[in-house]
Amino acid sequence: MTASPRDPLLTAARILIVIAMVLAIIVGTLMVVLLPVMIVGQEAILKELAAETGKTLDWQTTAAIQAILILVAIMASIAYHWLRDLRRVIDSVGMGDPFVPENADRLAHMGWLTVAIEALSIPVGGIGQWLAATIKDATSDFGLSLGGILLALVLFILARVFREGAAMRSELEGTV
Amino acid sequence: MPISVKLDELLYQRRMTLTELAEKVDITLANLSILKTGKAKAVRFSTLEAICRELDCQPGDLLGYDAE
Repeated sequence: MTASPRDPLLTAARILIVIAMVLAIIVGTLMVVLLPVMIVGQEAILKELAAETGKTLDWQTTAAIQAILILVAIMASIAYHWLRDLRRVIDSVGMGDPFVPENADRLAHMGWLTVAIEALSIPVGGIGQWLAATIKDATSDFGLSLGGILLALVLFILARVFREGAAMRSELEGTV
Repeated sequence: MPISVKLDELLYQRRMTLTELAEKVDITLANLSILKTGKAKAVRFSTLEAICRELDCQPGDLLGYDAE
């Protein structure tokens, strides 16, 4: 059974994924570009922040911002790979051949990428909270999420489902 | 594989072509060809039933077992 190439659900999913992939590239590139700017203009940024907040800020503040830039760049790269895997799974659905071992591998890969993003969320959340409190007496809600953990679990289970499906399909091949 | 498919012989005896059988049993010519050439890994009961009905034979007439 081949899904129509004009299947509205698949088309909408593809469009959304491409947009999200472009956003991930933009965010990742922005972080990579901002990092050397932060390092070079460290003194000026500290002065400006100090003037804005009225607080004395030291090298720890810029180090924290740089750490967040690096971590967010890594997260954007992980998100890009996650979306690329999802697009390939959707493409295989469009071609009417989703129950293949490659999709099981992709889903398991996506599960590990989700775990990686969740793991990175912890230091990003921690540093973000510290920065928010240091600079503006604010809070940051970035951190580990139950939704992310559930998503990873669902992906690992779906990977198993697809592996079973691929095995069953392979058994059916050659059946007349 | 020690299982042999004797579709060729049965078709010859009934003076029927594979294409004609494919039309009668509603199975694609490609799939029947896979069965005829012994490349099939499994045969559905529904396929056996349809072939036996059209060729007026028993499943044993269609399949053989050769230990060597």
